[in-house]
Amino acid sequence: MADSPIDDMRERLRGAGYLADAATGTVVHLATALGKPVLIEGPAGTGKTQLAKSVAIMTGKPLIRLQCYEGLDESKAIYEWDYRRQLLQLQLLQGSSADASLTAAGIFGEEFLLSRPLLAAIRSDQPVVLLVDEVDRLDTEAEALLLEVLSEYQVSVPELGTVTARHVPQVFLTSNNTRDLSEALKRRCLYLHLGYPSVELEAEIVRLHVPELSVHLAEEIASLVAVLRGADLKKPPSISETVDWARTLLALGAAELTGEVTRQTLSVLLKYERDIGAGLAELSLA
Amino acid sequence: MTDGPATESTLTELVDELRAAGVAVSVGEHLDAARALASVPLADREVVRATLQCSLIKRAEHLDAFNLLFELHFAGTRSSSQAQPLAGLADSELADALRVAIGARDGELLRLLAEEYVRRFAGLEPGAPVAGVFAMIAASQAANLDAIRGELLAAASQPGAGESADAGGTGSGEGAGGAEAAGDGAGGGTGGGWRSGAGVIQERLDRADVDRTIDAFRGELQAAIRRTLVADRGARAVTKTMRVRLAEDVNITNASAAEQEAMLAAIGPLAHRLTKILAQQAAYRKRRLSVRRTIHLAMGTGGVPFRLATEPAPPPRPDIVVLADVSGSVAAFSRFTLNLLIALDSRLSRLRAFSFVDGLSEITELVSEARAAGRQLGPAEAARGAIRLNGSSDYGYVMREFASEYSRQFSKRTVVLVVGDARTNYTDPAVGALAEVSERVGKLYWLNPEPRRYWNQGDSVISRYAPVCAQVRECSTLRQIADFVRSLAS
Repeated sequence: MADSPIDDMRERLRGAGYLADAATGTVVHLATALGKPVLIEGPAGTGKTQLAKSVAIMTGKPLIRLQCYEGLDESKAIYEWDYRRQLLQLQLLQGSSADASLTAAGIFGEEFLLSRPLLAAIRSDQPVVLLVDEVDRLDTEAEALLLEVLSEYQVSVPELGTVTARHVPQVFLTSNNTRDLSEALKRRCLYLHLGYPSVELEAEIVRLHVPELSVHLAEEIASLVAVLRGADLKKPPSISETVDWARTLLALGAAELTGEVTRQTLSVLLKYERDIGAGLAELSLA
Repeated sequence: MTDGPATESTLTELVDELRAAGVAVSVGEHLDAARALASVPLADREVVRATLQCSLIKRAEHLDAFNLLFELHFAGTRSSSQAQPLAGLADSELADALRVAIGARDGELLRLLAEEYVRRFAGLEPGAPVAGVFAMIAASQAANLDAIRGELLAAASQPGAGESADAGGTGSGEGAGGAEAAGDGAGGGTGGGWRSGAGVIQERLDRADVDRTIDAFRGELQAAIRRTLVADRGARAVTKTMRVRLAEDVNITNASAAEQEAMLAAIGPLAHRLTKILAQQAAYRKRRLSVRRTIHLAMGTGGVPFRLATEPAPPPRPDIVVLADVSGSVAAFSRFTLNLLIALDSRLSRLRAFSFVDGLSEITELVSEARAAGRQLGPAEAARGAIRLNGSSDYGYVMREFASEYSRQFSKRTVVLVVGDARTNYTDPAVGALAEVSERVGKLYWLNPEPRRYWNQGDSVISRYAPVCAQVRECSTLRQIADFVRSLAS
């Protein structure tokens, strides 16, 4: 199976610091092979954003990131005219005896265009990885803009004409599923649901990031985090919090999980007072 | 399943079944799946599964249905008719092997054991119309998993038994820990706590470990039963008997615990859409001048601002009032309603919530408190103030109370949602009181969790309330609620 493209992809992702299970490896492989965007959904802290970052590291492509929020519009996502420079240019031109048509051409040149992430990804001279983070926070109108860009990989700027991508960017969209995305956007993407990893995989992730840790302790850490995630928590521990906790335990020189050390360091994993209480109860330490 | 045409026809069958179950798979997605299959190795089943899943399924709620259908249609090359390496074992030897396999978490052995248990004990005769559920019960009874679990946990809590063996690699660390513990013990009472604390954690981890392995074995049993059934009758027939249902089509009132979990996950997006739409029904607020856009527009006219541009209108803030029946007859549904209220509360600054049975109580505070604490709200808790006499619904009293006490505080910007089955226990429904509320507010909607065929039967008087409501909707499934929300938008 060593020659399977999926295993090859997983190996390369591992080199970039990301341990992918078979499903994740398959989706990344397909995204590359078919040139389709990937929509990643799942709870917070399961490595959605990290996957895009790791693919950028793996392929050596620059990462362009668009952080979405409510109220994001085209002037923040695609492009904007630099109106201050345009005004200055107008004042300069007023001194000279330029006619009106020349004026219009003069102030809508490329040098007055401010590229925002989407246009930057399309105009780039080299292939890029485009990460559209938390796409579910976009308004419906902005989502339609995004869809337009993702379906044609081109942007039309009325004053300049249509800009078509020289290289199709590798696109990752992440969503926490706070609202339904449009069916059209979903149809265009490959869908990857990232849940929390299995205990074995998480132990491996911990070992990858904290190699000094013993195998035994890494397994115990992963197992305990899995128990905590089963409890009724406001915010279950994320993978990066697991890794942080492993680092903490290493710094404290713990060789094994004990009640004492767990109680002292549980605040690395759980960030709410109520969650700490619930966590201790789940571990019968309360 | 390595040859192309066979896989393609199986894919078409799978797509058909998904559509029959209510998953809208577009032609484009079907083509995507076929194209994706061409660029992955088909020998690895997990890879094939991931390939089809990422191109056909675009919602987390549909994953379970997909996985089940995939299992049935891509049953794989293993089937019960193959060589049976464990056939020679006696029943008692099989039980020993299972205990060892669970103790050692040996996945491959567990899979083989599951095949064997199903072959011997599930009672699946070729051609006989036995449902998978009974086979599962028979097989897991024969495996006696609870006894094995108890035994393994008892063995694990024996001091020193397995632990020292596998902790051999960390000898120095062990030694240090032991010395420290001894020191603590000498120091006083804390020493005992320290040691027992370590034991408690180890015990909890062992328990989790055993539970996970046993769950995995249960999964293997189920998979083995499905494989046997498919080998016997074909995927299509088995799919029919399995009744694949999506979370959005499950009747909320009688959903299983797992189905309720799936529904809770869908509440967030629903609340989002609902607040957006309700907001549009209220009046728009004033727009502010946008200096940036105005100057941008002025570029076309040589810098002279002929046209003014405004910022996008801020979303209007509607007053939402929810009046929820939390009586026993709709208890399962009100659990769902309360969760929806909590989700709405995080998005709406002015949400007022009332619960009622035969009394009326405002639970706005309770809802925001539960939201802030990140916990769920049970129907019993919400009903605490809503019971006046005997706890059987009295819509008449509630409507009169609601109209006289609260309707003065409502305005045309208010949208009222009543959630209830309108079962009045044959008392006066006080339609006039609700009419009074309806006239005062912008919109009044009634959501009835009962299937429409039960309406107006027995003590249900929904048709008498209907004339004073803007809309009366059946909302026994998530899909119906989503439809209601969508109908508000148009």
